[in-house]
Amino acid sequence: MRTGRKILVVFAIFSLLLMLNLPKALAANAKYDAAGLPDMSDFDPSNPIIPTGDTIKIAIVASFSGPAAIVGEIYFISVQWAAHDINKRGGILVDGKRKKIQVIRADTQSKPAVAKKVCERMILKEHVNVLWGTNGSHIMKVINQVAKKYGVIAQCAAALSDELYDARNFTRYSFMTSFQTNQIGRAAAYYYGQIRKKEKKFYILCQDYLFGHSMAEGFKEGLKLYYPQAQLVGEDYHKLFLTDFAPYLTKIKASGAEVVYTGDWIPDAANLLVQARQAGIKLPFANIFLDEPNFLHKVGVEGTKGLLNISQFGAPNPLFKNDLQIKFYKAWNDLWKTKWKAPFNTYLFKHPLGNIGSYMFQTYWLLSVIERAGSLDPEKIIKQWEGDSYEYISGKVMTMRPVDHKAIQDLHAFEYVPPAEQKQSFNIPPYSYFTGCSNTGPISTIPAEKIMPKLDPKLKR
Amino acid sequence: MDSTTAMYVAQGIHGLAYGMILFLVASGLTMIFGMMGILNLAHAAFFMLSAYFSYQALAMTGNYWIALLAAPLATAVVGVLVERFLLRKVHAFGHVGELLLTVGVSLVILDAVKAFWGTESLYVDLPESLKGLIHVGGLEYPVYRLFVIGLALVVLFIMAFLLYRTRLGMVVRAAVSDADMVNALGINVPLVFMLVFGIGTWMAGVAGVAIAPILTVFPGLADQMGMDAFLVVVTGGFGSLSGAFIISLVFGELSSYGVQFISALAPVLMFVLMAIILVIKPTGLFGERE
Amino acid sequence: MLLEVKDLNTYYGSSHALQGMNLQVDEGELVALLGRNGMGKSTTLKSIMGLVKPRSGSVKFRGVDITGLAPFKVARAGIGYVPEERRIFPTLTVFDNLMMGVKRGKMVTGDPDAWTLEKIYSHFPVLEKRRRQKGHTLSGGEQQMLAIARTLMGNPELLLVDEPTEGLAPLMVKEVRDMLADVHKAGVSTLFVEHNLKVAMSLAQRLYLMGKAHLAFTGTVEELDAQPEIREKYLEV
Repeated sequence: MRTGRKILVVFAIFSLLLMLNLPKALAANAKYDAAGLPDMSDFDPSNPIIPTGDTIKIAIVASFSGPAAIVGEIYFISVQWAAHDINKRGGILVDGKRKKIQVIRADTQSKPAVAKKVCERMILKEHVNVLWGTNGSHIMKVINQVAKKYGVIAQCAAALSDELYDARNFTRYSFMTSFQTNQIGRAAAYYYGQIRKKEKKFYILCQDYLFGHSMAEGFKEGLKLYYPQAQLVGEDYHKLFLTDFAPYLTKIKASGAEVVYTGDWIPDAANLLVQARQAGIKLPFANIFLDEPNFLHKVGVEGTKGLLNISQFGAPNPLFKNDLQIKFYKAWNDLWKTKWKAPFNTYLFKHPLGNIGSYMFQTYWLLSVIERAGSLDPEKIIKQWEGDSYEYISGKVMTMRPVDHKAIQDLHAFEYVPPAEQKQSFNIPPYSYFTGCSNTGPISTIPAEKIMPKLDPKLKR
Repeated sequence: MDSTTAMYVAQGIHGLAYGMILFLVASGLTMIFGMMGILNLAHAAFFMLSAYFSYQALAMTGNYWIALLAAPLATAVVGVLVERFLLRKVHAFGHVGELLLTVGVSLVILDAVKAFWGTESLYVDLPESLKGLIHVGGLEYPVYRLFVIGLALVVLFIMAFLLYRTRLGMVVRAAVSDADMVNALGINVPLVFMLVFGIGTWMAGVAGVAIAPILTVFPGLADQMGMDAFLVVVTGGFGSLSGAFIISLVFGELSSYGVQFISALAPVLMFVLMAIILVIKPTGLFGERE
Repeated sequence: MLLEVKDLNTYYGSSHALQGMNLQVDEGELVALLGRNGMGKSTTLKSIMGLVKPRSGSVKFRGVDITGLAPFKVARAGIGYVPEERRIFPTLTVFDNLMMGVKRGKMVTGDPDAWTLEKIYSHFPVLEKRRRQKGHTLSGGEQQMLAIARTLMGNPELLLVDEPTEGLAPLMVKEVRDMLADVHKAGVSTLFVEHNLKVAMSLAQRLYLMGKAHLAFTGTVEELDAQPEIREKYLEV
């Protein structure tokens, strides 16, 4: 009897997975309406037009002060752009009334205790409809707990830990639209084993806490699965905010590694690369956070050549496949060139791509789900979102897995090349992403079905 | 030299370089504590401030050497002003007041830095002459790190000269054990305090400039270095320069060879050593005070 | 009048440690300040030195008000202070300890009466012998000599000495007593705190006797000798 039930469960999961893959082959339920892009020339992140009154409220729960304050601003400009776009189209019809979208900054100061307080204030005082978060899985965990307690929708657009949606932590009020640690690791391994098929010796260097270890775990699983010939020549975990990477770099150098895989975020990731280049180590780093353009400029064209970035906002080359995409891009880039002030005038904000593009379109998806649910009732939103699929302007399709609320998506591996070679990707003038550093050239698609989000078998719904 | 030996030698030099930088920060901290009896919790903030100053000087002049000279001096001036116009005023109210004040100063510096330079990471470029590698018998080593070791040694010799060959140094050494007595002998101790505070922040400043091209300059820099420097001072003994020197180098080597041989434990090795030393000698290696 | 202390009130927190203290030292005098422990003798010296700040009252040195000045300014005005625990700088050599006493780092030259290194060494030969030793290696008596010699290097016009014989072996007590007499003979006015009545009576020309936080008696050695009930009340246990 017991064995029979087990087989049944396995069968059920298997068929579920099959079913989930099915809609991917078909067209998405909804897509971004690029043709309807309004005049965005009045968009100014420093002086945003924020509607008040009876609105749909989204709280960005993030660090808006302290060392990570810039992270909050990156989220803000991305989410506010989507909100501004939809507002200028007249807002969204919910529960029989047209409402505009109001974006609120909720500062966590990167502290869980503060995050809890600010989330509760957002719900009880501001009556927000969505908690949108955030950098740091420990903070996202708090957001999800508060969302569950008060029955409010949460969107995880930036935290990457699989654990947030395992059997213990899962809440049906929260949706993970970002990519995830384990998946990223497998994606990198798939790229090297099934697409590039060149380097064989890998060294893992990650931060010594849950996140770093999950990133590494995913990569190791991926190597077993997709690259059995690969050799792991070293594996180290360094403390957060490390000052001196030299001892690790010396080990890496001596190990004969051909690629260093790192889950580090900045500043660790930046210090790692800078110190590696200073030590004459020219190895490629497979990464997810070594994409911050101000930093890439400092390292320069040579030092950034060969980096391999796993991106959640990719699409096959070239970047621009139709005029609407160009129009959308220029609406942003022209404003960046001519109007925006600090801190929004640096290279970091030049393109509505990469993380900014991803945060923006994860928000468009959220708004599309609300629109199609036709209601701010969390139950209706949940019903609409589970199993939903949505197509970004880039053509990338996101699908929400009902069982654990993790997004199924293709990921893309960006290989960084010098400016002159970037036109294979950036196919309109000036034919490069940046002139002062290497950036995306060849793009490889890692198909969603090869890197399905990790599903906790204990999670039963 | 075969490649394995080269690796071990390189690790040793890494440890030396990091230990030296650690000493530059910790020595100012322990000296100020020894003399004035206060733990200057703003010390690491001065270190960070100097890194920002060097970024600014480099951006304005394009000359690394000017940045190297100007940034620690500018930091020392800020330190002197803080001592003269803030610390001295609360001196009469005891150490708790001074401690709180240094916390306040570190917060002000942090916010000022954010207001002037923003919160994003800034990058300081190396001068051409310090880029690249030196090749010695199979060993490749970055020129800049050797330069840092040399720089720290120069500062160390200047300090040793000042401390053991000048009257100011004699006064400082005396004041470390008994500032009131020095005062009663007719020596302007408040002035000496100010000088020591200035020199201490200058040394933190030199460390800040030295580390700027290795690390990104961002507002978290103070915490990043401050903790290690604090551990050095506690382990070496509050107020003990030789303790700070020895422990800095030991910590440097410990972190290098720790990563090499027992990587998983590397982050905790410093704490383990500190715990062992403090169990045996609660005042730290060369400390006299609790 | 060399030193004139008038109506001095000093507090440690809320404890009133000196209550209207009055005291004078004339040029060339050797004056003792007596009393049991905790009566405020050391506090009197520290208040004069500026090491603790008096709340009210005045300290005048050669007619100039020096109340509550920083210790180094009091020292520069001409008052030398030898503290109770000697407070030798332990990590400095004997020679450096002596040099610490030199005001503004400049030796006095040209004045035949000035305390110079040679003069110090001739008065305290043991210090010359030990000049390269670290301060903390000296014996108690030697430390006391060094403490006095260190202060003399600053050529004070008035010497304040706190408990010079405390904790010393009987032989050393005599030696220190003789040394103080010697220094006084060399022309330095002295105010010293002493618990050893014998030493005080044999050295001092005049005595102050402190009761709790205030002055109980003042007069010459002979006058105190004539009043055993005062001695009994304020000195003997």
